[in-house]
Amino acid sequence: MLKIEGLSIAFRTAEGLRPAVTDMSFEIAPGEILGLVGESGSGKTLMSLAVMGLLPPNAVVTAGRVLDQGTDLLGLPPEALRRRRGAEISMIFQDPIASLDPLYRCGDQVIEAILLHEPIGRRAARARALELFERVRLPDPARAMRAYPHELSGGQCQRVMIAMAIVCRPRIIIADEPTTALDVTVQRQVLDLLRELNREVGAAILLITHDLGVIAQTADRVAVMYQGRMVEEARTADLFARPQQPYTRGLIGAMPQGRQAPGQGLTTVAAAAAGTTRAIALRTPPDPSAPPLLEIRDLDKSYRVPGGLVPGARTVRAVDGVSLSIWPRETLGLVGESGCGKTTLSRLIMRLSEPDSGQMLFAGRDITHLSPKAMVPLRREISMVFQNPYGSLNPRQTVEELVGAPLIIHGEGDAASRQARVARLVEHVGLPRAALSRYPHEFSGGQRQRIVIARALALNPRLVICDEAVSALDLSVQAQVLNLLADLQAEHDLAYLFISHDLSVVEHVSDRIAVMQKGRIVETGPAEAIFAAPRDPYTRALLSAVPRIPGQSARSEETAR
Amino acid sequence: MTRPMRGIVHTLRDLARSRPAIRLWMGVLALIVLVALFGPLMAPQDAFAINPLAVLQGPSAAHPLGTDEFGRDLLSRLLIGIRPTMLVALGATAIAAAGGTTLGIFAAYGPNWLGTTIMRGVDVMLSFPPILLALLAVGFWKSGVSSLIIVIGILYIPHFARVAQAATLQVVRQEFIEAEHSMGAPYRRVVATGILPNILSPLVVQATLTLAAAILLESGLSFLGLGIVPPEPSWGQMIGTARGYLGQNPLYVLWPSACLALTVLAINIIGDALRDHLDPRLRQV
Amino acid sequence: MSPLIALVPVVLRRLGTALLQLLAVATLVFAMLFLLPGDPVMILLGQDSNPTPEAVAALREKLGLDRPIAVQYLDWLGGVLRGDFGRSLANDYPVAQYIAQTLPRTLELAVAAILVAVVIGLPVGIAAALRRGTLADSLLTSATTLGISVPVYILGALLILIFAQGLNWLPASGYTDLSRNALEHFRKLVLPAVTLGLGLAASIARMTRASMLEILGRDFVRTLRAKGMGETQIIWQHVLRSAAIPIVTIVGLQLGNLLGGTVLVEALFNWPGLATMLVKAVGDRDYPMVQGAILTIAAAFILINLAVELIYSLLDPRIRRRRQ
Repeated sequence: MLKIEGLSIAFRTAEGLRPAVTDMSFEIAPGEILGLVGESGSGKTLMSLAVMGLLPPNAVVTAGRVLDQGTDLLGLPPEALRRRRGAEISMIFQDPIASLDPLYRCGDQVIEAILLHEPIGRRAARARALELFERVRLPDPARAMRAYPHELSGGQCQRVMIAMAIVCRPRIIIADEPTTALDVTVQRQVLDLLRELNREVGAAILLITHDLGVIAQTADRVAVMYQGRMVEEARTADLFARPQQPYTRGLIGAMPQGRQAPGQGLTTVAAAAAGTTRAIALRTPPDPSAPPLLEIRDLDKSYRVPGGLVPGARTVRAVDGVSLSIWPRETLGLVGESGCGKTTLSRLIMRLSEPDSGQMLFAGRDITHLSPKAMVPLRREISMVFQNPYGSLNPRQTVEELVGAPLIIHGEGDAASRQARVARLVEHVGLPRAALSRYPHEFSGGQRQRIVIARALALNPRLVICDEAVSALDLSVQAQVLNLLADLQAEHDLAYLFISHDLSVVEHVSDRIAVMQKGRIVETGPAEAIFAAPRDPYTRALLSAVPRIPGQSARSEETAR
Repeated sequence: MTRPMRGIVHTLRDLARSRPAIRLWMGVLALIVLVALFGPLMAPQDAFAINPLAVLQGPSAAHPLGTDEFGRDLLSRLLIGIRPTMLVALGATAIAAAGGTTLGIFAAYGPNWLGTTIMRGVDVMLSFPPILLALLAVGFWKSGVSSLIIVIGILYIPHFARVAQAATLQVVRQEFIEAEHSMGAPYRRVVATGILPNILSPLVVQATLTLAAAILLESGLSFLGLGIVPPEPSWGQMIGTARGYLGQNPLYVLWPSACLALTVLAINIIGDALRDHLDPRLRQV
Repeated sequence: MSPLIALVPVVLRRLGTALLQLLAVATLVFAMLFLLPGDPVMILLGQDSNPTPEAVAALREKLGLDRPIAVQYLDWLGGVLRGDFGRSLANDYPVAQYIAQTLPRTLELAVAAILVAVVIGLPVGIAAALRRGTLADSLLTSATTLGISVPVYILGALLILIFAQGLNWLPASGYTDLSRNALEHFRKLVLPAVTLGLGLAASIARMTRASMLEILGRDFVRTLRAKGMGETQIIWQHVLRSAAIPIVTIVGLQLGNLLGGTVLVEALFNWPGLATMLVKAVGDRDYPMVQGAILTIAAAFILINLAVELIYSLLDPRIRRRRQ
């Protein structure tokens, strides 16, 4: 059994020690999975590295003990600790492809792990590795043994990592965000595998994640971390049913659950602490009898992938016969897993790349073949919010220049009127006026996304394409940005094309939903209908893979009935 | 372009603040620049005055660093000898930076066929060691400061183009460039506000490398007797001449060698520090 | 599929590029005479002299410059393919024979220098990376900065002053044929090889240090530690192998500088190699000699780069297998 007692960790800085983790205590029994949940910067990864004895050189344990069957791991000499690593404590990391040595075959890396601790000979080790590859259900285990990491998918690499982690039957397994880099259907399989194997191996598992859904699906108990401290610890079902602390209540409230009710926003941590809820502006519902704002007909786009031993190229149909319509004031959710073509589609709509065939009509006008010059006035009407708030802002421009960019590009007004408009926009998205003269790196992820949104609104567009606009944000920040988007939609009569891989978010914001797989739209319909009675097998698989927190599943079943 | 320039000045100031040792090397470089600017005014004697009675002497009151094979004052020749080297290095770096940056941005941001063509040309240029081409150009065309500037400048255009192209490719992949396009920004604007300010760091580092390489190349050519034309002195040329008199006056070769090595060392150390300072990955660890 | 068979298309493609590069170089070398401003014959005869019209015509005919350019070009390419670079203007001796005589000497110097560079550079770089942030690291790193900053001829002059004139351990300069006196041959090789090798050693050490540090920060190293592998095994089995890829690249790129460096080192040590021949030919305006020497050096450089890229794809399965 693993027992952490009063563990504190600090970073060495020029100004002295800066505490990162303070007085953490918990224990995990054999065969149990403890979920450690917290947002970025809460210190959860540092915790796990301390248990492994792998803290970065600038971090030190300032107090506490890590007890494995009564032995304090922190007091062990490095060599003794090294012998325990991999044999008695093992770890699964976030980015499986990067976590494997690119120059060695996957099989050899697992064999190496066996031989480090059990000198059973290469042959026997190879047999054991192959057997494990079957156990973790790698398709074609023999091929996976020979494959280099870059030749496998992320999910397959994570299976290799899991095989490597359980190969010596460790007593403790630490899984640090094991599914964050994976698609939702793959995530489900990997988590199920982890649970199932743990029943056999009987290790104490510490599952670290930012995703409450993953916790709900996998963990027996949950510990919540916030700013380096333990906030709350409870059985998983109890935590979701009766969260005790305001932070936990805020975190659970920030999870999008089901459709957005009119006028009711997501709870934020601040609101939960104050005991209030967050209201959002009421909007005029879209009018389905009106002509659509954007209409896409049979859009095709293929890429040539340079390929093969034979000269010539393989063609990938990134967008394959897609037809969609978006009405004014409506939110259309476009959902699909990575590589399904949703970003290609948004680039086509923005005319950032040219479709092979098909038609796009904006407000009844054919924009498919408009010249770049003729397209310019239309760029006032459609704007974009990007996925990565760190990458979508030019680091060398001030907020004022960034938000004012569309105004300058389209020659809107004079300098003074532009300045006034930019100041209004910045306040409108909830940033202080002082932000105007600052640079993007001075802001947090959520604030940057507000800057991006202010820029998208600068020219009063009618359609805003949100491409994974909240995917990079922490849960509580995501809730704030989703609330802001809802407010702005009501105030400015915006239509959203909301692209995301996250089904709960899409369900929360969308009026209608389109499901995309391998370049095709497999299903379209009103959000309620899709979630209640998915017709397409892919949609069903996607829906069943979404982690649900207790209480929510009951409610969606009610709506289904 | 004023803001990027201000950015460089800021960076240098930050650098000097964060690393005291760098201040020393910046001081050395500043001194060398001062000598390059005002060397002729500082020279205690006529650097061209021949004295057959005082040939290859060691240090003395009349000649603090001794004399060369024509009895000319070494200190004076040393003081005016940096100017052609510096002129050539700065001029060549300017040409290489302007030409290479333009080509590199076109190669990465322009149409594919143009990029391929430019980079193929760059590869061919890079398949000649620079000193060989310089040797040819200077040997068959003509020597002197202005031709050295042009020749060395052109020779280092491919190096700059490579750096600029790689940096631009990275910038162009970022979403803020896509954002500019989606807003309908013209290419001119994307290059001026999106690309240029964001590839400045690697370019500045490349400029210090080129500066050092140009100094080495000019002095190498002068060492072979193909660079700065005598009797005008340059450090490399003095070393080249002095190697014939290693036995008679060993100090003769040491003075210009030390000065030249110190100059290149100062530039390289500042360049290294700049790169570490500007590369956020290195700064974090 | 065996990795070696998988390499075949990569090799073929690279070989094609190298041939194109060689053709481009050969063309450029041919065109050089015409790219220079002014009448090539007048340039070759020297700007200051006042040649008789007969001398001009004779040289023009001798060089074949009176024929159409296309014919000259094809003739030149054909000659190059047969290994015929024409005859020296100075003494009518075949250029190819000069090259055959001097190229081995330059190659010997270069190979010795590379050996010196690798033997010194790799351990220094590894040591500095493993002791990162310590005094030893700063000393080694400073030494490498000095190494890339000091021009080879200064280093050479310094070494001559110390080891030849001061201590009298080694000869200051010159060349003795291996067949005549092997010991003397190698004694005369030491100083130029070390001079040429030290600068490259500094580059290798810097690159080794940087890429080791970069690899040590990768995720997979954390996995190896989590597996319970010891630091020594991590470094020698995994980190160095990954780090080797950028190191090989930089060594390849630096070889160009090394070839450039031979020009200066051969001059300093009176080493009668290809570079010395080239400098002399430039001074004499012996155009066919210049053409032959340049083409040979550029070809050597292209071939080295080709070899480097092939080693590179052998080292890295991501490149080797990308096309499957």
